[in-house]
Amino acid sequence: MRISSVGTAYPPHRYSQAAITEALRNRWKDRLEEPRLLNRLHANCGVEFRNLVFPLDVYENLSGFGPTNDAWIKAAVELGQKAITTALDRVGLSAADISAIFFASVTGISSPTIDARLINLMPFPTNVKRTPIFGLGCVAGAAGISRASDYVRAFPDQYALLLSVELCSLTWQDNDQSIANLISTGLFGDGSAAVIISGAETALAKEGCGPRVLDTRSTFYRNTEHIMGWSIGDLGFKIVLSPDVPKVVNEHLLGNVEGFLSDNNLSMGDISSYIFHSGGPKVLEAMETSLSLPPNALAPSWKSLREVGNLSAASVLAVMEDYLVNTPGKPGTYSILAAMGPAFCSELVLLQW
Amino acid sequence: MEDIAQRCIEIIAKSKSIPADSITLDSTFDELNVDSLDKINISFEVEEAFSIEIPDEALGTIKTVGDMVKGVTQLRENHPPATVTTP
Repeated sequence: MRISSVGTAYPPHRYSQAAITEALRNRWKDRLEEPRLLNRLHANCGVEFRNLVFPLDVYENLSGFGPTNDAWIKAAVELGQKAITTALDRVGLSAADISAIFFASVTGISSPTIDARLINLMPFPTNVKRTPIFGLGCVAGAAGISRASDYVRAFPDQYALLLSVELCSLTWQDNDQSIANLISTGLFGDGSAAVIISGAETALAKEGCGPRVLDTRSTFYRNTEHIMGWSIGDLGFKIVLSPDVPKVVNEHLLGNVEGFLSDNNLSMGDISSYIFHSGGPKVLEAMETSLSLPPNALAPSWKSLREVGNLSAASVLAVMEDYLVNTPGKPGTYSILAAMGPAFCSELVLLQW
Repeated sequence: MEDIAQRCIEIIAKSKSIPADSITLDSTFDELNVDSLDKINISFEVEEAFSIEIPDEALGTIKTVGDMVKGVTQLRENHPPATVTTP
């Protein structure tokens, strides 16, 4: 089974980090005890630009969970369709070729889910199998690849589609001036990514289209619920984000990666590239330090963070797209694709180009 | 430079409630358990102590106490604090 294609799509309203900070500083001018704190937190998120669903001046008119979630549904359908179309077009497939859809998001909810609404807009088979996933957060990009790979392992003549749409700007909270919320309004961006996973007996896999998924590994860290997630209330999703996230990375990632590679008769020296979720500067630094990575090993992840911010589940998929399109590995070389997220937990995917 | 270093160390020591003599120019903020928010709060104290304005994006590049002292020294050289004169 192979990751044969990735397509991303971003909303049209692109702003510099400074412009977003200024807009939020004006919006919260009567709420912020120390306005310079917002500037300084945002300036150190490692983010230079973000794409947003709406022009900045529209956000202050969005209030309440219902209207905001309705906006999420409309935008998620539009953006998801664009990402899927790009991913399919790149490898000459149509929606009619897809047998299973895995849809991951943590920034809005709907029933019927976004994947169902897309089936009404695109020629997916009516017997396509759907698995909507809510709540995995940032880890869902990697975990979605793992679950889609599990599916095509069972049905090797089929194609599975993973779609992630994350519209983080629709979770901004006016009534929460916590450090976690101030950081999250500076870190997270809006975007979508679609991935085509080809079963081993499909035409694309036989052509060698994209890296093979050799193995996957989920690891759950017990009793770390407080590290990251949502506190969900009348006003929607309120961020839970502990400053201990880098510490958790430092404590667990190396052991997870070494154990995973050892089970595949490999070691760190065998890995040519690291396709990691762009969690933020502290998380990326912790990944680099704990794994003793060479300089620039995570350059594509840093670049993605700078250019579009942390896209939650879609981030690692955007980095994967960069590798597939611009710097694919040499034949036979190995990569690890990885993300961590609420629970706290990690998902590792071993790839061979 | 020495005065700047001593004052920076005092500010960090007070902020983290640790002995000043446990901090050296080579101490990294990670070693001192100074997280991003601590660093921002320390930067506000340092700005006030030296009458300087630290660029918002500079904090990400400051990893050690020595980096901070060097940065403060440069900012003071480029923008010396205004002196009050009487007619």
